[in-house]
Amino acid sequence: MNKNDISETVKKFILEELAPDCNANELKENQSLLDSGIIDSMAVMKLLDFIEKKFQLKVPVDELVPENFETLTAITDLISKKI
Amino acid sequence: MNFSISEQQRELQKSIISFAQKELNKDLVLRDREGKFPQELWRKCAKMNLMALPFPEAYAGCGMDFLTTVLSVEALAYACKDSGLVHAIIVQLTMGILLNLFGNEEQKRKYLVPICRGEKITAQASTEADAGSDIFSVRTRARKKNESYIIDGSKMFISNGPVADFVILLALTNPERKMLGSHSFFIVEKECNGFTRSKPVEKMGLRTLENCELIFEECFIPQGNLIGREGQGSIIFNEIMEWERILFGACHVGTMMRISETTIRYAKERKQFGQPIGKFQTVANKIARMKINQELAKLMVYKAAFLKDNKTRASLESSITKVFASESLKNTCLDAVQIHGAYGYMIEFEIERDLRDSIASSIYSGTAEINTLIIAGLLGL
Repeated sequence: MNKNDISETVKKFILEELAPDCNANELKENQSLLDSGIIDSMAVMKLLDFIEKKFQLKVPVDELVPENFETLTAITDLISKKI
Repeated sequence: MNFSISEQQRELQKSIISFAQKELNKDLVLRDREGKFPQELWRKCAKMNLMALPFPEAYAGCGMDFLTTVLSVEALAYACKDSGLVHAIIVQLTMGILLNLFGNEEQKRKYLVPICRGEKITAQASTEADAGSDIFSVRTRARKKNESYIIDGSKMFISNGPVADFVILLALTNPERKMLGSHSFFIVEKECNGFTRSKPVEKMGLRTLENCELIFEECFIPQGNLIGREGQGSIIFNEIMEWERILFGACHVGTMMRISETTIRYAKERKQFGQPIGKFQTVANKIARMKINQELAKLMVYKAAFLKDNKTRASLESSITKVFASESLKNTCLDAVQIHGAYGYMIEFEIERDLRDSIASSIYSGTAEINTLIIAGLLGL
């Protein structure tokens, strides 16, 4: 799976599960998901659950930092490092 | 799928049960009435390494996996009728897990080692008067100044608060951020200038567990007392809650095992209308329900612990465990009092105390309501 595929998969999840009112065109690669409130502490739990099951990987605790969930790019980078 | 526990785990449980039944249950009616933290019993538990179980040997831990730790807590809660003491130990274990996962080497050497040895008592200082379920609305502030942080604010209902040597504090570090990235965890030692505590508050149950308010007024703490990264607070909190909910689940299972055993014995011995009351369907059904709930709770606890041992997320499983085990515990305790009749209502028979202790189980470590919301959220609702 290349980075683009990963990004699209994560974007689909965010739009369907975390931000259903958000338009696909509005969700940009480097938009802050934290400042926009799309990712809060509950959303991180859901996102982590999704990432670990969908991509069959584990995110260790030392990578559970806000920066890794700041943008779609950051999340994609986090996943692609582990695949 | 192997449902059996190992011989080593069984032997460990046996030794904990033997220790607890011999050492931890004396004068409990009086101690419950007095509402004081049992320092001497804490030291005995520390000598048994009960606070060291899941931690690396490099930090005075026992190096056991989490499932074994959970089995140990279950055994302790089964044999130790002092639920306040067991609760205090779980707080210690949970904060130890927080430091083990997110602390740096220096913090582990300085704080995790004495946690394991029980030499120092710790507490989690998160809840505030206006921030319980809505934990990330905490307002206790930590402002960076040169090589320090200045803490201002207060915390409420803090378990182990009155006896803690240091607390692990959740504070707001970046008010500009919305929830994720806004809070951080710090270590605050009791000697810190500006850190004071109220007297212990009087509670309905868990009376040997001491809780109090903590007040921080221009409390300077070194920069090195930040745990993890600044802004990592909510992530750390969510992670730790998974471990804590499983530990409390194990505790509730152990307590339920003890209560159902006691109740079965009573139902066989107590005769009314010429036969043991356990022969009456209305009594037998209640006891059968106790057993059903106990076994199902146990399976959830073990599954959730297994997931954590395999470094897998257990947000859903830990919340399910907590809701089910705590609700089952309360029902078990209520039915136990009912089945014991007037005896169940008398303090000296020690049945009513478990009921009083159980009521808080669906309040701490996330209320049943908030855990149910978490479950619904994780199901995509």
